[in-house]
Amino acid sequence: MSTAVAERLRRAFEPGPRGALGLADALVAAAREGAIRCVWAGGCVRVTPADGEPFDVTLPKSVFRAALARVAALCNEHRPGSVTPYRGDAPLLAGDPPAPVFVAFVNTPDEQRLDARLAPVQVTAPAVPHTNGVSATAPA
Amino acid sequence: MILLHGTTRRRAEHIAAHGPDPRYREPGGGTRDDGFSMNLETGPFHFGHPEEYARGKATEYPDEGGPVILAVDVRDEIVARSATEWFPLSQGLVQFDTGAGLEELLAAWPALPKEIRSLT
Repeated sequence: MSTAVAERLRRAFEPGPRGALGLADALVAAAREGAIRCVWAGGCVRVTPADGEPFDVTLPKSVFRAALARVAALCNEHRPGSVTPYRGDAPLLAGDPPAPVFVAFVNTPDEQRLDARLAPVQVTAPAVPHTNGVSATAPA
Repeated sequence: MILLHGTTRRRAEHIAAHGPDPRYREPGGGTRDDGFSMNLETGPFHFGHPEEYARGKATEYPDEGGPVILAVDVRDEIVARSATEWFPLSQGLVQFDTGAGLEELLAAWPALPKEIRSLT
């Protein structure tokens, strides 16, 4: 993982206009360029890029839990029922243009972690049609 | 405004009676300090629907009476206190943390209208 990607990862943990949604999107998008592991403990997230030095970022637990909840929702938007809000491993589509990323996560009161990497095989887009202009899978 | 929290019936009844316990200890787990998460009834549900949380929790704790939704009518000014740069209300998630609405929520809790909605 390049220095630039690591820097983008660090910036993902700074609050922006999209709040916790933006954090989740940035983490899974970064996985398109190299596997990452994020584990929360003691007030910090330890971010471990596959080919880079780990670093710690101070972050409230509730923010990281919300980001993991968003990851779960993205999995279920892509494949309904593929994960629970509390744990799972499944593909999702990340970034623009969307690319397949495979995630494994745990989001319980006692453990919060995310592993994300580029999916090894192409996954298909969700086969849910729009009805009356409203997506049947994605929340508003 | 109406806020929703998906959980098990046992937990919902305890929360309704005593208020959220941000240091609730899961069976077999350690002490937590997660604040208290709810979602606007009107959505959006970017972080998952409360029903999913209720069903997931009921699956993990099958002896707790099944999945339910705790619906609480929280005054707008208390909800507004929860909004932070990480949790804008426009995203639907209402995260009550210490210093971000939790104290106000707990103080008002006994008088807030509440309802436990069963899920089939």
